[in-house]
Amino acid sequence: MKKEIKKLPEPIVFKSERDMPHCPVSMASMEWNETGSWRYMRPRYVERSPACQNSCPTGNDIEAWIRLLALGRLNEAWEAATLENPFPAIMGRVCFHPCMTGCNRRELGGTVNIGALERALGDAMGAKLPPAAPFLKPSGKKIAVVGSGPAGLACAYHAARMGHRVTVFERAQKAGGMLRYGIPAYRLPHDVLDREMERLAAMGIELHTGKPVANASHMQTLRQDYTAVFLATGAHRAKTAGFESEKSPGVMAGLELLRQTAAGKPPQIGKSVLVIGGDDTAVDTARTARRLGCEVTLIYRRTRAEMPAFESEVRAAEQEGIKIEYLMAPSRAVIKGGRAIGLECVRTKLGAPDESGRRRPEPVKDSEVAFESDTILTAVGEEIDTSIIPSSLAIERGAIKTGVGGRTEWHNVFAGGDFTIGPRTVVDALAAGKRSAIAIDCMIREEDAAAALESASICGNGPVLMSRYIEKVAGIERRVATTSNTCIQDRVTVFGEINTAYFTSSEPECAQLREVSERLGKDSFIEVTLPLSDAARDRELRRCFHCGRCTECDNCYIYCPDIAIAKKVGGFEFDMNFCKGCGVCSKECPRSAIEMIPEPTEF
Amino acid sequence: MSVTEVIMGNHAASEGVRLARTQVIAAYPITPQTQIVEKLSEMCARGELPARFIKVESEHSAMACCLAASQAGARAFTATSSQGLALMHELLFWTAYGRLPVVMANVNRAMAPGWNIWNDQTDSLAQRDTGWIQIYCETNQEVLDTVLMAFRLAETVDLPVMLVYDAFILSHTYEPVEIPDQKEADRFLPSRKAKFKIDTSAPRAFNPLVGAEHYMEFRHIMEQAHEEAKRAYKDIARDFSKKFHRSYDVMELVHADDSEIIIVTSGSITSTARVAIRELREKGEKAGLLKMRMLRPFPTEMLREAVGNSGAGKRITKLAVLDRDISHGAGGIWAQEIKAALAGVPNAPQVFPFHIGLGGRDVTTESIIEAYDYAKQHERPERAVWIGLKK
Repeated sequence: MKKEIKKLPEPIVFKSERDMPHCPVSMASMEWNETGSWRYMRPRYVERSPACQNSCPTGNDIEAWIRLLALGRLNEAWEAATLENPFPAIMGRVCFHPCMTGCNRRELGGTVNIGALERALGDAMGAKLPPAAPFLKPSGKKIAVVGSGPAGLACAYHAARMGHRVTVFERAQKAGGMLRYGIPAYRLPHDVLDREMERLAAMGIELHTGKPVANASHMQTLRQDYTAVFLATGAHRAKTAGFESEKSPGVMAGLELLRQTAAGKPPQIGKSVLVIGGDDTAVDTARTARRLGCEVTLIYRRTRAEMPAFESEVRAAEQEGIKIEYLMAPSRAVIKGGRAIGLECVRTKLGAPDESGRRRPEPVKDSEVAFESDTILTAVGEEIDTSIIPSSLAIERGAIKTGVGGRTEWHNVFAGGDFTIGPRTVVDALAAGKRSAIAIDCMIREEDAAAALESASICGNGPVLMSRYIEKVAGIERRVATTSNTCIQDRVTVFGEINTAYFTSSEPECAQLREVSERLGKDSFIEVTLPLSDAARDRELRRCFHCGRCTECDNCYIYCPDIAIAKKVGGFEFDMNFCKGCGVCSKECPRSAIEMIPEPTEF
Repeated sequence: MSVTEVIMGNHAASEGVRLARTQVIAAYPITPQTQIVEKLSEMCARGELPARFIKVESEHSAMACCLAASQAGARAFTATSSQGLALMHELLFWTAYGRLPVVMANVNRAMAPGWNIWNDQTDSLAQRDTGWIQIYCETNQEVLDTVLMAFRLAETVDLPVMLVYDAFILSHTYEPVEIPDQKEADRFLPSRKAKFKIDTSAPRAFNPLVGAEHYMEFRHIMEQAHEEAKRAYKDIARDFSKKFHRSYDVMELVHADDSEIIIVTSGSITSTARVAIRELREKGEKAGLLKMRMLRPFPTEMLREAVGNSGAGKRITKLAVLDRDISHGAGGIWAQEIKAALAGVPNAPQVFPFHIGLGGRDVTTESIIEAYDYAKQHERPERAVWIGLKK
């Protein structure tokens, strides 16, 4: 029977040669470390955050679902993905994938095409639609969510998983917000969106569409009827472009075109249209108009380099025959018979950078150009409709003032997404919805939301992880296990920690686009981006480094010169009676999932 | 009762190992050593020797096994030769510096290339700085007896002992050898009692990292053990002589009383030199013979006493040292050792170094007399003389 060693024996100090043994041997017992003092470092399995996860505002555990998907464990992969991010099929299509910017594979052939894989995961689940089960027991608390865009839906989803009863109020006839009415169907098909809405409904979330929360007094009623209210009505009001006669017939907001087209009633816009703007809404507007049969010219006052729209979207627009006039600013609509029939523009040149860091366009003298048009579509940004904000709540920079987790000055009213100040992306909206759901849960539990959010976030200031939150509040372990006896570390794995001897440089698998003729054919709103083939998907899954996570690749087990690593079901174990602390296992781990630590002197 | 058998030198070593009740044997075959372990494996197979016989893939592993067995408290033996000994080099330090009383037989064979299996002492002499005790044997009887003495000496001072004898001239040559019976051997050589040994119920760390703060002390402690070995050897030799009526001193001086020129030898050349000396004496030469048995620890004081002319004028004028070895760039190794030991001795004789019989070339009485004559005819030595070199 092994003795329990609590503490190191007192060191023996040789004061003279006479005290010393005749050979180098320990004079005290070595029961505390049977490998002897050779080992002054010992290995341990660690699990760190992969860079992709840390780069995703929702903290999506991408590595986990890639690992499971590669093993063919689809249901578990789905569980892992939807723990932090409820909509793989949607996000695989519309997200700008900051995870891929973080991906360490970038340094060895190119970033993993996480977007295509996420879509593959979402589509593989397809019609199976497993409703996410709540982690926690029903709380009996009612939560109202106003607005069914990504922020509202994310809040509803996460709150429901925490056991709360959620009702969503949506002004439009269908749920989805900007996902449905802002993003054209050729990028996000409506059947994909409908599938996700059905899944939310199956979770018990009540979706009330066609129910606007029209004014401040309605808000007052909600906050009395519900334990908490989450406001996520987005930013739907198109900004004005600022040219003369902009209010005339024949000029309309691009967003309005998108909304009506999505609702199945595209407006009559004629044959020739001009689109003003350079962001994604402008490109979406131009491509939508093109699909409605128009000749489209996009007018942008800076150059391609300053354009905020995705490069791939701009390229697709050009393929589809959309002309782009760079360094061109509108000055006046040409009116005939009370209707705009054209646009007078002026050429611009780039001056000094403005507050956004982009160079400010300045008009060039005597450079007027005129365009004819049936309709002028403006897409120069969106504003928040502040009319539902009660007058007693403070407004800051054009939005409702919020604090921790989106909490407003009213203790049970929270807000997030485009309705508040912050980055206006779908994934940021999902992250905001999750943060608010946690903050609402903390309010209900009467716990400090700031502390809870900090402890649930990677490195205390990174993305907030639902897995950490539920583990903390309810001890529920939903992390996708790597090897047993792993020390979970709040650290992000960097490229330098990857042992590149074990990886070959390879280029990512790219999704193909549908032919232009088909895009602009009879079924013109058909999805443009094609899915990866099964073979390409499998190749892409294998490109993942699995940064900082054990994949049971067996390298440590094979390399250990002392056979001190035992292979067990679900992982490995070090036998410290044989480990001499050489560190070969740690060095040969391809993904930095073993670290060497100083030999402990207390047990 | 002892029995006398006519056996080869290698089997004389095997018999000694059996009588020592050796517990672990690990060895790798190499000509001309192979028969030692062949015989031992047969003894183990027949149950005459209840030892653990470990087959290994190299001499390096052989010594690793032996030192580990010795660390666990066992009496361990191995045997090798030439290239095999060179391969062991690293572990020779481990054994000696670990203070493990392993005994090894090394059958002297020339180092390659040119590939050569015949007699030459360079292999063992090249290992003189590894901390091992080295004892050179002249006859098959001496080989057997030295195995028993070697274990006793090794376990007395916690140092490994290499017993060394000549390829073929002893290893494969049959001589009558008196083989003691087990009781006699046991009375001379008690079982080993290790001061520290591997014990899983009381684990210790052996041979850990030792920094500058203690390393030098370990070397000094070990150097004292070598000094102690000289004293211990005398006691052991005396006890051996009492029990077996054969005596082996650290060195043997023949015609000590009136020699003027002394031939210095080690190993089996000594026997040839004994004949040469007789012939020289018959011609009226005052020729003597010094047989060196121990290289390490080097018997400096005994050498000075034997040939240093202390208090007797300068009767011994010259030493003709026969080296069946070479340290290229510095000459014969025995000659260097002897010169170093006599340095500063006021009446020390001149040391004449000779290379002879390298790579198994036959050493005859004539070639030894040639060396003697050279020493006699020259006033002082200049450089090493090569005897029998093709001109």
